[in-house]
Amino acid sequence: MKKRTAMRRAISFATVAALVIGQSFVALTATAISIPSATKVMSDMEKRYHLNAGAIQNYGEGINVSGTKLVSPEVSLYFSPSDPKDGQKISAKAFPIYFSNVNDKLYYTWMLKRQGCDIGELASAAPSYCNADGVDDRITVNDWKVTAMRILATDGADMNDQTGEDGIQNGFTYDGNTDEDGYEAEFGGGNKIHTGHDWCYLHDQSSGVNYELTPKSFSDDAFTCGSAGYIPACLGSVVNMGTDFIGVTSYQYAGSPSCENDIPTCSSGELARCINPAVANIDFQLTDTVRVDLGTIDPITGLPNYRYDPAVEDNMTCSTTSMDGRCFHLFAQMGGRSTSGDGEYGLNEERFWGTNPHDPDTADNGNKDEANIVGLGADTFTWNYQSGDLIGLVVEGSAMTPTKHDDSSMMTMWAFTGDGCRVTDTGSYDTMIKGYNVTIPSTDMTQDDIDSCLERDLVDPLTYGQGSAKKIELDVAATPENPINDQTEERAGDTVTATAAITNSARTGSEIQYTWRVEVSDNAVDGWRNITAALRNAGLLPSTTGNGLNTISIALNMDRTVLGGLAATDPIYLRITAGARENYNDTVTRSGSANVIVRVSNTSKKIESFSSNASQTMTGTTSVSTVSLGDPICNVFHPNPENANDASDNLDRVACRVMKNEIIGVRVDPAGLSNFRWTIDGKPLSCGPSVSADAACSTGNEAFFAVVGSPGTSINVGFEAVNIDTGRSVSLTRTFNIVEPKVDLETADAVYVWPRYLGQYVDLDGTAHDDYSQNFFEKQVDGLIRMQARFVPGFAGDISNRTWLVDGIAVPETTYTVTDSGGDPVTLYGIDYAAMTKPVGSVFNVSITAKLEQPASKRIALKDIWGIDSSNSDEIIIGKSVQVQNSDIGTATAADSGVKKFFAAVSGYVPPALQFAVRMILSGGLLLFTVGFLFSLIPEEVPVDRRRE
Amino acid sequence: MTFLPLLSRWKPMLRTGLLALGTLAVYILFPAESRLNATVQSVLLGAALFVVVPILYVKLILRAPLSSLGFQDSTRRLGFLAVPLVAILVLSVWYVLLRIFPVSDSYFLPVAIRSSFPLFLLYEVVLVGLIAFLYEVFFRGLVLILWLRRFGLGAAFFQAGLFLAFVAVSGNGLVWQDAPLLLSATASGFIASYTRSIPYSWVTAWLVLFLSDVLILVIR
Repeated sequence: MKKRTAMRRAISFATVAALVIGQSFVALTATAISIPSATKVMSDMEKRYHLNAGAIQNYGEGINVSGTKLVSPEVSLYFSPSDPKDGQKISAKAFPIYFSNVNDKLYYTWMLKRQGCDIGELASAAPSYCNADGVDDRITVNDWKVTAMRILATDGADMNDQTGEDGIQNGFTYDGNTDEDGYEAEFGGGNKIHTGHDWCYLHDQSSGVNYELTPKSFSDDAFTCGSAGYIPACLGSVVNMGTDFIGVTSYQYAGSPSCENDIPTCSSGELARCINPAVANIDFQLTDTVRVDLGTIDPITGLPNYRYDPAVEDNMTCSTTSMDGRCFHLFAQMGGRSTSGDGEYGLNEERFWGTNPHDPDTADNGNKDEANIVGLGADTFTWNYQSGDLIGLVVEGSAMTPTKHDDSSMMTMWAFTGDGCRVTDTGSYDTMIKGYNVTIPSTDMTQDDIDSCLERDLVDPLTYGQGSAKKIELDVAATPENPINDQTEERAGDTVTATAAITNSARTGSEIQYTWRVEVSDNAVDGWRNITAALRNAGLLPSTTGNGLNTISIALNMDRTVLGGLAATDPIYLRITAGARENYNDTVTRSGSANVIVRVSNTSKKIESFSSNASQTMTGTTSVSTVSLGDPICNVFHPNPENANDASDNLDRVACRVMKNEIIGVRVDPAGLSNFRWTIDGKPLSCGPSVSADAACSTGNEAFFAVVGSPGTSINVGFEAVNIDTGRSVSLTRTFNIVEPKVDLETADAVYVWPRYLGQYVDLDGTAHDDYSQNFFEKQVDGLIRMQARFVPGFAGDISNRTWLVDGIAVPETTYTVTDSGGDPVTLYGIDYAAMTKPVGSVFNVSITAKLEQPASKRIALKDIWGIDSSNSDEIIIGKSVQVQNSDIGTATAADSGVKKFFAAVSGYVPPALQFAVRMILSGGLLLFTVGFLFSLIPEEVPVDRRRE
Repeated sequence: MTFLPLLSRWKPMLRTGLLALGTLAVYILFPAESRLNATVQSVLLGAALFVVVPILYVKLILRAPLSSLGFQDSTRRLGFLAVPLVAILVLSVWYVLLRIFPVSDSYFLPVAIRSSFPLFLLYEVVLVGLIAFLYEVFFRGLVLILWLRRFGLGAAFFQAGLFLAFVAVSGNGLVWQDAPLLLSATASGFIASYTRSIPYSWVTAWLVLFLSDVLILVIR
């Protein structure tokens, strides 16, 4: 038996030894695992999350002082008008910030100090209206408050009239108080109802500390423990599972006790005890002890001396301490007594403030009278300004900062219009909050102390409005960015529009006088020469001085008479300066100026535009599309346009009208230029062998683009190059407007067909112009219908298939070759048709239908080069229909005889409607007369007496 | 001297006939004012010659009441039944024409009234009603009732023929556009001949013209 036992022990020992050796072997052969380390964990976190130690340090340092960086409520004022005249209504609008209330729940206590109503002035020596509250021998801040709040509560009754003999004051009879217009003002704003919080604070601007005004009826519970260092606590019980799986009742800190009738009291189930701080955050039992090192060394053992204190003591006592507080409102008060905002508004108060005792809302602003007295939501104060008036405001509300008290309170604070109050008589008090002893900074300042601060917070409406900016802040902007000057007779240069904007104007725009100046230089830095007068003389700048003239437009058609020696310089720079001036009165004036410099391209070069031809060539088995320049388009200019077609050409010269899915070529004369660069709507436009085989395309002074976009939009083609002689850049732009193609009909021979005369219109300069219809024409009765079509864009006719109809009958087409005013031949499509004979006044309907269809080669090129699918470049059908009326003009002329000539002349002056009416009446009358007269000669048939027969 | 009594006997008929034909001649030969709108001229001239002149003729020359021109209630008790019957008959003809001939393709109706129902109603009630009234007073009132009433039903055909000739001469020849007008003239001629009442014939003419347009729109 012993042998077997020994065997077992040997096996056990061998097993343990093997395990120990094995573990040691593993430990030696593998990487060692370090012990748990907070530093390493933190270090790993820093590495993992890229936390910079310095940054964290800064953040922590910021947290340390964050309590003194709190924002306190502020208020700013805005006066309108900012330059009031005596007797004029002026409004002061308050803009409070950093309050947690909405603005209409704040209390605005306004102050109005009239001239001569200085603080400390003897009431008897000051004007009668100064002693507004009627008490004290001297003027006080309350007088200013009463002056303002009386106006506010009565909606403008500036002065409180004396009671008349009839008992009527301010138009109200004070024979009783029948309205319920009391208002109880809560601390912290009108929305802090039923909170009972009266924690008022003053912010010290220097230290950043918010000091509490010791509250009224302050009740502080003081607890005493038997041993020093113990803290009063309420202990809650918990049941923990012990190592032997038997439940053990433990206790833990559950909060602070309250003191009721000098007896520490906790919630039901909790024990009121003093506890050692060492167990404040752990579970413990009532009999536990806490080891306390005594800080000494036993001389014999060399070990520290210590003792065991109980974790819990049951010897707590308490008492309640009351303190007098001074949280208060700064409202205007009747006769210096604190009655405003107490919820009772009696007849005496009604009389004092001048409110209607029979109307709960005398000011008709939605507030009760007493709410108006305390300034509830009164962020605007309006009064009749008198010279010397000064305004003050203090706003009461709940700040954004919470108190440390164990309730929902936010700090009740004031915002001042000036520097506020410098906090004095500071100190602190300790109070138990959540079981902790909390120190709260406090001040003993009184209402009088704060009122004395208000004396320094008055502002002058005149200087307040103007003080923020002694000069007019002006900005000038000009468009477009890179305008072009045109010195040629085309006068197609851009128009530069400069606009001045004032950010701090106290006057309306029409009351500000602007003066503009334009200077030119060959660089953007110096050498400016004033060309304002030259521009005006050339008619390029309408006006430069005037009230409300905040925008000018300069037509960049400046020639040598304006530019002088800079006429050949490219680019040139214009400096446009605006000066603004506004007057407040005879002596006060503000002014300011600003300028903008505009770079102007000043070259005689122009972008010429062309239609295009497209072709396909076979490269191996692949078809390659290329384009080449076609006929010039939109390049004709008529210096003296003689008709609408000339004007249309000039319009195309400025903004070439094109239709979508057209390929347009552009070219610039390359002489004297290098480094060409094209842009289209700001994006690069390249031209290479894949687009065109033209040499100019490779050189860079030629480019092509496809018209893509909706009718009504514009395409801006830009060209930049370097002037070889000067080394300066040259910029050109050309605008193409995408239009819906259309066709108009016009006479091809005015002898046969002419447009109907509609009358005259008179220009603003008094010049009369004949006006002709574009839809109604006239022709000679037996004459041919000779009409022709005019397409927009002009080149659209060349890609059209046209069908002509006269009264629904197809008519063969003919071509007319006309010469434009520039002497160039132009081929137009039209008809020369001998219509059927109709009487005078009859109408022929003449119409054209044109089917615009790009050649197949161009549609393929659109797809190959620009990726425009052929379904997007299909045919477009347009048409036009007009009426041509047979007329006798030209066939019936006035004879040379005197009488006929006279009547012809008379008829020429008689309106056609009158002539028609006369003819019609005469015809009808003649008809009746003829019938009546002729048959009056025939006797009536004698009736036959049948009875005789 | 047998010519004079003959003239005396036929004087009323000759006088009215001369006025009717003279009026048509004046209308056709009236010189148009090229500076005024042709449509306005036609309406004004039509109102003057086809309405004012017949009324003045009856009041000033004949010194008769306007009832002699048809401004009266129906002389037949069943006139109100005749109106829809004749209208339906004529519209049936119009429907057959529409089915046989490509009338609707060439029949013009302004785009505005095709696309807006309120404008369509306004057009039919005001414009069509006004134009129909002009023709009623002259062709049915003066020609049929006052001038040719003794010819009975034959007068209805005659005035329709006269109207057709007038349209052919003063317009651009006869086109399908004129078909409803001619049909309405025939229909209202029968009604005028039967009722001796211009209001009845006017309603008939308007009904035919209105429903003709409706048929065109429906068939399209």
